Amino acid sequence: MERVEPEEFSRRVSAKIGDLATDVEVKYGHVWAKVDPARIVDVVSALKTAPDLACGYLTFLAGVDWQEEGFEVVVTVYSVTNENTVILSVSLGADATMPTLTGVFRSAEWHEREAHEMFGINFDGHPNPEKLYLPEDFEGHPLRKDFRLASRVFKPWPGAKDPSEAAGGGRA
Amino acid sequence: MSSLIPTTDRWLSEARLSGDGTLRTEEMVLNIGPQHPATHGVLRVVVTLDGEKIVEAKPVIGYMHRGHEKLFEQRDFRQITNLCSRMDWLSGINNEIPASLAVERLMEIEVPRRATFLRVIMAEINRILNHLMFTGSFGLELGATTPVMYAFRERELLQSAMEMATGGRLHFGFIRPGGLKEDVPRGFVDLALRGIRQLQRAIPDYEDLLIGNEIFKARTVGVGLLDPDLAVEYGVSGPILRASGVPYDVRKAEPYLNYNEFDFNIPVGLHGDSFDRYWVLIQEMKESAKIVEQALMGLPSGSHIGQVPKRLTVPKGAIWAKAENPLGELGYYIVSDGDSRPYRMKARTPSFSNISVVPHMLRGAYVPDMVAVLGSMFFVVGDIDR
Repeated sequence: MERVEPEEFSRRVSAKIGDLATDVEVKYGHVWAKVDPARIVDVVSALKTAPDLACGYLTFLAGVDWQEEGFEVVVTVYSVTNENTVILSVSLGADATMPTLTGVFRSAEWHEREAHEMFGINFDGHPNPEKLYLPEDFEGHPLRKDFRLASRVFKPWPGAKDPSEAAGGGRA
Repeated sequence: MSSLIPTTDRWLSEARLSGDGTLRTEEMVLNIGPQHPATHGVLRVVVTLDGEKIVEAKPVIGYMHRGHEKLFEQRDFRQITNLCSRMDWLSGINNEIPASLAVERLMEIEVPRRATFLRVIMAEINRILNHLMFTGSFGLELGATTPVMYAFRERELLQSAMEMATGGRLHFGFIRPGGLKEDVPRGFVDLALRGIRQLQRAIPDYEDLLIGNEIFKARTVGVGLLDPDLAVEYGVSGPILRASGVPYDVRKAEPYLNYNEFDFNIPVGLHGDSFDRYWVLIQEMKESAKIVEQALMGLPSGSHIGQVPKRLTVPKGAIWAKAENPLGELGYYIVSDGDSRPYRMKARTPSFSNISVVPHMLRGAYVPDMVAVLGSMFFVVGDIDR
């Protein structure tokens, strides 16, 4: 396996998906790009199937709650042959919905179920949108910012404070 | 008289009269776990059986979910070390390293060379401790009780070396952004080296005990085949991926710390069966021992921690930092909003992806093989559930 320089890999990515993605850049040795939810399936499948990219390894898929600005889904794929990572950022609209990637990566099933239960993000066309970690009757989406950690409700430590300044603070 | 004793023919014809000649069969659903010795913790597998054959297997996870990602958001970057140490409880140091790497890269902190060397030494000792645990437990699951005794004997010296330096035997909490909590005490190098030498003398015994064992081979060769393409699609990593013939190791593919200064190989399997996975595990211990030896010999003097501000405020931005955990690729995706706590911290744990491929491996397998397959997937439930 020969590692392709991230800058060179970034050029290849731009050449392949340049018209589908924006802000393709190299940061900390990885290729980053922003993608529209409507185009994410095409982008991911292009990254996976293009022979000079071969990003066939789904590293992870995760949600981020940006509160008023909505949700973001981060999809990271890796190329085992070229030894490069592409991190795609998808900003979702008010409906917090994006198409499922299970058609491209079967392995996206678990990742999407996790993002669904933790953030309430919907993946259109997901074959099995059940809860993954949480019990079936669990209410709410724990990783959303408005979901407060129970122990922090009555003891806001460390909060905005430096831990060393906390007087008589308990632990969560 | 003879007519009273039914002959086989007559018996058959009478039996045919009372039945329709076909035996009705149906599939059965069997719950394995959450508490089952073959699942190392609380993994539950719901299997649908047709006789002895597995038609479908569905892992049910979440019994050990502790909400690490939510808790990360409530802790400052120094405290996080102690939390992520508990995700994969067999390899604390390896869990802590990428979290520190991410903070160091975002804050542009320089880590002293001595600290980098010590991190490599401890990460590799931790890898050996993890691998020894699975060497023992896999044998145990297949009915061989000797290897686990050997493995725990060899663990002891290395475990003592780690305890001497960190004070812990399981959750070390020793890595800090910028370096280490403190320098290692006098005697650490000798003790660690003694542990490594003892391991190197013992590994041939392990190989004789199981790898050369006929019963072990009968249980594992050709069992639980994992196709390399499927493994890559599922994000399988670590010894399991390499046993399927894909030489992906973060230490070589994207060298962190100073792994590029050491001489070591990446053992790769040929067939991707349970036997190859176990073989890779043993070979990796040899390579880790080589790294520890080289690092202990070349350990420079100097400080154990770099210039770190009293209050860690990480600049705005996002970063993805990964490392080779003993079980595979472990990484953190950290979003910082400029505070001393992460805005979002996603943990990408190896066992999660490794276990997600299990339904494909168990389809069509026999029930007794399930133990040989699950046991060779080398997972820690805390690492799946986080």
